[in-house]
Amino acid sequence: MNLFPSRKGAFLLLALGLLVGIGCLSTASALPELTGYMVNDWVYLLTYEEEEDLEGLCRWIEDQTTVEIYVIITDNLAGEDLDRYSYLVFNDWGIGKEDVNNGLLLTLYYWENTTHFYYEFRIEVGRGMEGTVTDSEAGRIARDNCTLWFDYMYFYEGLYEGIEELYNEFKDDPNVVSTIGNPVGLAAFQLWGYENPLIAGAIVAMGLVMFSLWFQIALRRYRGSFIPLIGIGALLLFAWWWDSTLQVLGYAIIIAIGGTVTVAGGRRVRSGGGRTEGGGFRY
Amino acid sequence: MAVVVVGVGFGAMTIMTYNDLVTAKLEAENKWTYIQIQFERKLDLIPQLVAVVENYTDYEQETLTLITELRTQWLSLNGTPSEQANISTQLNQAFSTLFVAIQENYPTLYADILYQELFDEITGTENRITQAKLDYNDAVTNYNTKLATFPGNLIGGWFGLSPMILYASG
Repeated sequence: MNLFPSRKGAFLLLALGLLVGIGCLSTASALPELTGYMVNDWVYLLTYEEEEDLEGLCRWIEDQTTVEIYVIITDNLAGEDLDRYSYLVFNDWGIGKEDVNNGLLLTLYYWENTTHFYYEFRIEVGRGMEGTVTDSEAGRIARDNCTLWFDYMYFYEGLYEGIEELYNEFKDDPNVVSTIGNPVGLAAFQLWGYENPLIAGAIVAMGLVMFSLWFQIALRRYRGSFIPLIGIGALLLFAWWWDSTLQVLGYAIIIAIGGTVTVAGGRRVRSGGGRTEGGGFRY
Repeated sequence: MAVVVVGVGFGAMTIMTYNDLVTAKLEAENKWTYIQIQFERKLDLIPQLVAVVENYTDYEQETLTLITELRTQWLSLNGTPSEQANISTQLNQAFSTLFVAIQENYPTLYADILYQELFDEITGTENRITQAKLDYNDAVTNYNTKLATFPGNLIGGWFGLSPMILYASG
């Protein structure tokens, strides 16, 4: 099969690709997407070990109390001010569980020039946490536990102590504990695929490779080649359904065509859909 | 046959656009109540603030009285956005006068933990109000855009829908 029947066709395809590319570029200043991690250091202020440690702490707290604490360190507020940025990201990502809105977002906006560094810091409190972490509590913790360290560039220490102190505030409060159970059946299966896209992708990829072998054999025998084609299509749809963020599908295709994949980090997390109304404290 | 197809298509388009417009309008009206709720929160903090400040200061009575008066005015107001914005601007000016005065002239009060906490609460409430206002303006703009563009401009005109007013600051 000739993919480009004419030079004109190839040119049109190239132009279309360019258009799509430019379209993607122009949305670069929009809000960040959910990354699958609770600690997101986009300025590289933390070492790898420190980031892993904070991630572990946040996930442990979620295991213990169902409260979701996310951390964002960024040098790009997407054209908003820090308050608005935290508010929008919080609600966009849906931090905290849906039934009790028990989310917390720590946003550290950092920028520097050749001689100085500057930062702004905000603790955004989910709607359901406002009883235990009031604005004044958030203010106290931001002042006494976080920014005290940040002023001397000890960002890990400040974040760790702040999260610890926040945890002490809500750990004994039954009101912030979500009663949404773990998903069962198909939903659990989908969640597993979301959390482990690489393994799920590999499983789908094995199916894809088998079907394509079958397809080649069928081609030689001049019959029944449509069955494996349908199988491939069904598998792709299945991978799409499994994980709507398309990571499973992407990994499956990459593995199936024999690409090598670098694995970043471990399990991904998914937020619970909580809301904020803008409570918290900005330093 | 063709007439029937066009007629059905036209009817469907009318219904869908109208529903879309009404949904957007109700959404914006809901966002308006969010602002009111956050303002109530701020007004509830005022008596506390007055109580804390009164004990410490001798010379800020005027500002405190003004703040209390504005609070009363607000409570007796079934306001349009512009009236509300007017009083809220005055209130904010009185607040900032008071806060600056306290910071400069009453170090013991400024360092007081109760005052500090109250100040954080008021700042936090201000932020909530800001976010609610921005959300309201987003929703109103969304509705107004739908109303101003085709086919919303035609269908909005037939059903007598009018554009909503943005919440202007200051």
